[in-house]
Amino acid sequence: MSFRKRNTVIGIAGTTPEPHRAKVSVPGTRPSPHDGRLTTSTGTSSLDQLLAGHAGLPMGTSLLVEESGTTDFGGILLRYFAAEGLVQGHCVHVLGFGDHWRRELPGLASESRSKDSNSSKSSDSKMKIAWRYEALSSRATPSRDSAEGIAPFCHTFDLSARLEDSVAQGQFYTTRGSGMDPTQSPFRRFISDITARLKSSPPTSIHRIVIPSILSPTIYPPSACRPQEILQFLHHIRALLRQFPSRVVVMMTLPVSLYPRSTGLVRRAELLCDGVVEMIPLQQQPHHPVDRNSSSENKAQGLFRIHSLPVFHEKGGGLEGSWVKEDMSFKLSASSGLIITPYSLPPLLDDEGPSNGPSNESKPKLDF
Amino acid sequence: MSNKIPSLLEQHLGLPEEASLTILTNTLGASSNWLVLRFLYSILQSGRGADAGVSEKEASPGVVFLSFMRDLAFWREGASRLGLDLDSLSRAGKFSFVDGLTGLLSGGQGSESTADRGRVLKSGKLDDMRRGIEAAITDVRSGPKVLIVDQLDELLAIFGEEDVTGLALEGMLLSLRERVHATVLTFSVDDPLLRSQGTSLERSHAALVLAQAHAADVILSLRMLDTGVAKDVSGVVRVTERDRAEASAEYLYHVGADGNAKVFERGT
Repeated sequence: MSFRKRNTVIGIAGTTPEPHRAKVSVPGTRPSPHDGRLTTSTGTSSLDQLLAGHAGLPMGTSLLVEESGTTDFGGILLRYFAAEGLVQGHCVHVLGFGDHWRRELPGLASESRSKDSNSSKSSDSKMKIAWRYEALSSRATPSRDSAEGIAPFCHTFDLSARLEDSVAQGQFYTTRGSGMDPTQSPFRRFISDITARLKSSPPTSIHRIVIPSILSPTIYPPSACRPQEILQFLHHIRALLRQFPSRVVVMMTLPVSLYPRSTGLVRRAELLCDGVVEMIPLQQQPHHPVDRNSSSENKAQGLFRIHSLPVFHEKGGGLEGSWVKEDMSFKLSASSGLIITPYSLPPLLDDEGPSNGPSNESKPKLDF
Repeated sequence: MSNKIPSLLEQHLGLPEEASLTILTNTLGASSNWLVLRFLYSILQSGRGADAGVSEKEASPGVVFLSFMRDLAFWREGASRLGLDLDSLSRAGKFSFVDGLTGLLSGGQGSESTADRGRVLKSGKLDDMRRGIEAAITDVRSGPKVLIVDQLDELLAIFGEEDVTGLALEGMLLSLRERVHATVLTFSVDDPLLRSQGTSLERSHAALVLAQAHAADVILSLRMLDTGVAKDVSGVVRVTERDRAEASAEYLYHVGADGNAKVFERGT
């Protein structure tokens, strides 16, 4: 009897730690080092590091990735996000694309290869980069090793491989943008699908909502681009995130060449999303193919701008120094994924000295 | 108390005068949430102070809070950091929350009163909404009632022309203002929303915000620092008073990791 009585008292006190422990045990999530809220990985570890000290995307928030031009770096970011979810056993919901999107997900990089390339790259850069840039390169790959430690919070993916079904434990759902029924809006169908699946799934399951190039005319019917249609959808998504704050995360991309940031519609969409980042690809010279590896490796492929961050901006501010609006750049490689680093112009002497030197010397020799 | 309310803004954040309209404006990256929380705190706390003091016999003020972009959990967390327990205040009939986010598009009817999410508006029809808000106003039983509406412009944006016109919205706002002591509104005033006015979305937004801004007694507008980003400055707050032009001022503010807000003059 006495044992039982004590147990009830403990049970009351223990109700608070118990859900906490249950939360931590959900694969692919961890509490934020900043304020302890549950976060999950975006699948891109350098992006995780940028999210205002949370070291991951806080559950119950959304991230809007805007991209100008015709490139699809944002789409790659979403594929890493979806692949990470599938590997961790989360449910992934995709709007707009069919099942073929699943087959384009990157596969897991094999451990040994990724470690080899990491170590060789670091020793390479040690040789090439001047000492004062050494610190920069170590900042470029923050805590990659620790992330690969005991509990893999963020996996490393290989773009050249395809995600196999054996490692993808999560479920994958798609909703086509322009379906068979033109009278029904794809947004409403998607919302009702997700709400039903959220309600029918166990309360510990994590759901990732992926919306690639929202409003792109190749995927969505013209009626979807009415401001009310899309804003109601985003409002609905926001409502879902707040109703299931520990179970849903959203990531979407928006082509800002088609929908410029200077319009009221896009600004309203940005206000409805918790975080907004923008990717601006830099012009690549097409006549320099990939073979000049040594110089192209350090080159940024685009600029990365942060307009707002989840939780941080909602509160009006936060952790000191966690958000510095310096220029960021990104570059993509097949094996190490998308790496976001502070933007710095490459040291001219190091880069152009060896490549230009021989050609300059050889030219006059040929002339004479 | 004084350290929670920035002293430079103290005179603007107390209980507003009767029938006054206060507007807080925000932009992307410079949200007004911390300021709304300070407002809530100073209104609800001033009543508590008056209870302790013998001189003030008037009933302490209450707040009706309608939010279209954020749910009660967010506000509850922010308020608890200031030492304000919204749940016990709402039980005491001093605070009433109306949720315009989670149920607004669910296609239901009227509004529903829940324990953990406040009164949830279930439909975007103005009449239903008005009834829900009026019920929330009667829920507050204490003296002067302050109505705070967070992001009324969001309502206009998501329903657009057909369902909610700007004129009907202003009509509803006026009839609600008649029933409360004072009103506080927050709006987004980002440049793209106001400047070009090329689409009907932008035009109706600008019409609503500008009309309310011209009717306002005090405007506290927040924006990002014009010169870029600094580590110890989150943004700029500009105070504009209609009747006292000399009271207008511009300060810098910083919201720290612990949620503490500092407001200071330039150069200090």
